[in-house]
Amino acid sequence: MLRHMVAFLAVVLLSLPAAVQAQQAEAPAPIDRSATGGAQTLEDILARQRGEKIDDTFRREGNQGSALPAPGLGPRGAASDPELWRALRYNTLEATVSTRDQVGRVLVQDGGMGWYQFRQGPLASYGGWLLLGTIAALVVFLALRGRVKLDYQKTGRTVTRFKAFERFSHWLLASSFILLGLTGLLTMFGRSYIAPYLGKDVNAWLLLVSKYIHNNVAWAFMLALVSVFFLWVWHNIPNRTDLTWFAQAGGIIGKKHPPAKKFNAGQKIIFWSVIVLGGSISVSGLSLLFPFQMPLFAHTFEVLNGWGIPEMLGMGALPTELAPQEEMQLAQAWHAIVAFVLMAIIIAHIYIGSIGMEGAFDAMGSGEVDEAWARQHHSLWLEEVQAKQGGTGLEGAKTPAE
Amino acid sequence: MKPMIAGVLAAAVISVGAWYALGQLGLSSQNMFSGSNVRIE
Repeated sequence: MLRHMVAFLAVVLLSLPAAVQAQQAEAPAPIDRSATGGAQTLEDILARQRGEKIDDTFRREGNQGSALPAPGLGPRGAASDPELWRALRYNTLEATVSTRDQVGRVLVQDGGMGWYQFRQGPLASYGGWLLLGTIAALVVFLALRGRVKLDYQKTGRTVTRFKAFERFSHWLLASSFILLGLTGLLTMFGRSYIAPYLGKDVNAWLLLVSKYIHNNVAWAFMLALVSVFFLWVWHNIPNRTDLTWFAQAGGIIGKKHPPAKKFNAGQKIIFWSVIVLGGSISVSGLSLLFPFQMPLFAHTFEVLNGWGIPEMLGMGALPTELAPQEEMQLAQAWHAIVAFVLMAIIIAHIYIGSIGMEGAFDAMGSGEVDEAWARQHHSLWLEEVQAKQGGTGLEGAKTPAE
Repeated sequence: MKPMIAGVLAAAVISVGAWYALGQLGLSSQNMFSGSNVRIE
């Protein structure tokens, strides 16, 4: 179900720029094909080269025309077989290929240029600005709000916030995600921002290293994702205290610190973002690693068509027969879109867990937080810990290491 | 800080292990993405 939804959202998002572009572009004037009896003309070719959308029904479905009469379009030295070339163009030829590679059986797949333009255009620019905008917003926020400081004096008594295995899982997830993010960004932006300055050889080497790191570190990320899910899912189920947290904007704005259990509502948003978006990135990443064994989109589109969702949104039926290349193009686009969103969320998470809040890093660093910090940010959780320890105070609480 | 260092090291170990295991199983990217007739040996 999840992969169906993410695949459908990918198509909607992918179609947005094209739809906007189509609305902005003026409708091309109809092409007069009388000189070729309805066959392709030089104007058709030039229009495609200009990037205009051409209705190719006249070619796809065959016709009685011939390109021969058109100046400059006739074959030289041999007779042309338009039916053969049409079948090659639209993959309807009963051809036998020697390779066992499924990609090799697709003779012509013209989605590559559209995918490349989307990747280098809207995807790279919107994604890049999203990350830079997030960092800029945090810098402004820090300048205006300042660091969230402790309101109370430190007690010198600490409580265990996260056990060793919890911290291990967190850092396994964090380190793998940072590596995946950096190598993904190198892959996305290397050609534009590294090759012109450091040279193509350096960029090629970085891409090769990035590919190895990205493809293999992904397994550590997925393992850690499963681990943190089972460790913290129980604590991240929404409850009534989250409403109070939202009502007080989490204590970030102003001086109030709303009560919270082990995780406050903001942390729950982070948790579920990591699980859902990280899970989606994992699924699309697996589809990219094993495109022939794990195609993602064709089956999803079939299901969505069956539910009638494209029609409800005013779209035509989604394609249910996709070449392996198309599967990979869609999977890569979705993989990158979701990764950009998750990177922006994680940048904010890193901020609040380090420079944004005094004492926050201790929770994942040493695992021990001062009682004053716990009372300020997770008062309900502190009460639970105290109750388990059998006292109202923290008589049994640990003292900080010297 | 030990779990933090262990987590980072584990990411490296798991990655190398995955690379080795996938290669042994014939699931390396070279095997997945190229046919014998186009592979440069």
